[in-house]
Amino acid sequence: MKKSFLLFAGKRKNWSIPYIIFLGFFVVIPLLLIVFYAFSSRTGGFTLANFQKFWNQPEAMHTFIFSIGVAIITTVICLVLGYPAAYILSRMEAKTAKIMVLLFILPMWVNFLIRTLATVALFDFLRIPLGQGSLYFGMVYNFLPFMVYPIYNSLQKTDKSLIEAAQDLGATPRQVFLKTILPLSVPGIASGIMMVFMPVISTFAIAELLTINNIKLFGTTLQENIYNGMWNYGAALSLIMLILIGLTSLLNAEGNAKAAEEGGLL
Amino acid sequence: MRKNNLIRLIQSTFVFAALIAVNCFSTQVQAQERNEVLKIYNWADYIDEDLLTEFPVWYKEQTGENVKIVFQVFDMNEVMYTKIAMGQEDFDLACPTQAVMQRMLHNDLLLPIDQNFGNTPNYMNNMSPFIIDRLDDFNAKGKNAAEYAIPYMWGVSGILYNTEKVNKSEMQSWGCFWDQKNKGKMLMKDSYWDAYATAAVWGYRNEIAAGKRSVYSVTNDHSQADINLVEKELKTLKPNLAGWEADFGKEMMTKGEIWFCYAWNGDAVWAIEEAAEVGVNLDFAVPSEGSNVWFDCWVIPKYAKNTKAANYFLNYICRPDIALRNMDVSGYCSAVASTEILEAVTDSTLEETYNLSYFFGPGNDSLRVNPVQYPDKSVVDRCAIINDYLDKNDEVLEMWSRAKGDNLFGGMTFMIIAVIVLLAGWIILRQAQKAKSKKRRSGRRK
Repeated sequence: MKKSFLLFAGKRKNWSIPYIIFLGFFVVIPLLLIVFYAFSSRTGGFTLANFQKFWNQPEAMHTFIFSIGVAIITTVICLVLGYPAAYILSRMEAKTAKIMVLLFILPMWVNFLIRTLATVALFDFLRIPLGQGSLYFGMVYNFLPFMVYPIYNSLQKTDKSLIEAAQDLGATPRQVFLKTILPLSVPGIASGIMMVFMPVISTFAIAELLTINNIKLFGTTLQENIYNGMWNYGAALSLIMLILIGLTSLLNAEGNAKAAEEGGLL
Repeated sequence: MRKNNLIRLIQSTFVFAALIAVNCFSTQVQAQERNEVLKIYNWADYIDEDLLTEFPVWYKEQTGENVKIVFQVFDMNEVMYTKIAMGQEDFDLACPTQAVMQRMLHNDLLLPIDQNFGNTPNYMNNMSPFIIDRLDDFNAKGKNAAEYAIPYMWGVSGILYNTEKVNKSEMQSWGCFWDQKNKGKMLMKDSYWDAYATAAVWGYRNEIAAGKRSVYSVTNDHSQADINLVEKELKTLKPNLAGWEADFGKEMMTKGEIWFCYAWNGDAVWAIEEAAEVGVNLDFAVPSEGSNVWFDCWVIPKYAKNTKAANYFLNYICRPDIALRNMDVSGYCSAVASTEILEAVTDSTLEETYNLSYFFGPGNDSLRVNPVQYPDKSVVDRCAIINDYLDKNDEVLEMWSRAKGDNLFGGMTFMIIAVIVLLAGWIILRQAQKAKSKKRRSGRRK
């Protein structure tokens, strides 16, 4: 018995069992419940009515599209702001870069709700009216570090000799950037986009606080349905969102695979 | 290999068994102690929390039994309702607003309240007839609401406004919310009950003035035509609003960022007091078109496990001195209308008098009280109580979602399509390039 236990505990694979049980309870079962609720009516029978309702009711659909739009805009702003920042960081001396990265990460030590409430107070103080503008500010402010960090990481890992080789072979600085540095940082960009785009779609607290409930994102629609006891419709909406997020990460997986392949080619 | 699998299976069965055992054990412990626990689910800032430690002492004196209070708060009726109706949580006491109490009664979610307290005096008889009579509106399925609910606090809805920014006369009509010139300077409550009632009263103001319909009828008929009109009114209202407020209206008013907001009178009592301390003058008005009167009541949900302590707690908070303490904390008026309460709220330094015969009984028609907290009879007379939407609930919620949501504009859709097209184009381009380079490579290899 003791021997078999040792055998059991000795296998590194077995150490993952607690985590697998955890995953099962808190990820797989809830997901199955979402699917179950989404395809059942209030009385419990199988139905597609929840999805028909989404299709027939323009406002839920509009909110969904609007949220995607907000997510895209936020992602683009984060990329435009984040890439140069990450590039400059990666070019710095290691010591300075460390401090700068720390400064970037520092706000993340505070819970995002507190950060957003502080942003509201700041806007109040500066007498800037809350609205669409403040929404984008809040989104970018909260998610920018998620963009900077992966890009910084991939730029950091870039083999300097490749850049030198490009320079030796007569590439102009512009060509060096476009043909060497940028393609090599694609995995970082891809995971940065993922880290920003996916959570923004389902965020609701930032929109509620920074626009005084004026702008409704898809997360709020979900929350309203769950609060009002319409679990089936709410589950259907969640499923739709999950599918979209799933599709985006597939796209990313493809991008990553491609990047890896290209890395292999070189 | 096979043995290993078997062991793993046994092992995980053990883990499961252990989990289940722990679970059973803890529920058993809970079951043993459950009759010594009283689970209360109430609105935030709605009770003097010292009472939560004082009640067990009183309960021990009265019954010789121990009880420990577990207290939780909610900020939306719907959250409370969903937790009890769908989550089947075993709260012993909850405090819904009248319409949600009606829904709970209608859906068989309530237990009757036992008013048999042995030697302990029954304090529940001090309720104002004004509130008790209204309970009859909510009888459902042959059940008397009065046997299932104990009214707690009540109030009216109106407009809280900054006297320096707007005219008092303008605030006597809901029209100020629909007036373009106040754009961006007002807040509406983020509650579909209040928004519906307000939009209905404003939308049907001419019919109400002409006597064709009553405030009660426009608030509670929920016909398709009514719902459509409310939707239209809310959609015109939305662009005027600075936002939909949950609990930060008072703060924004005090800072002068907004000029007026929809408010319940109890909140207004507090806001006026607090603003006065920083030199801002706020006041409260109930528009002339009519408004709504509401009350929150204590109920014992179906899944309650300690109904005895729950009944005693209800009796305890109906005791006039306890009711007064809760009034001080919340700013609202208790449904209790005993002489102790009347004495405590009378302020002889006030000049104007108000008719409160409807609440404190005949003869009390010229009292010196705070008219925001205790509105005059003329105000209450033009207010109707809000009933549950019952079978129309989904339609009203959908309407509310339509009225409140939808910020989509053409440019956004165009941008998304553009991004998708660009992305697709990029992927196709990459695939084509890859195919080309593969061809080249294979060509070279030959």
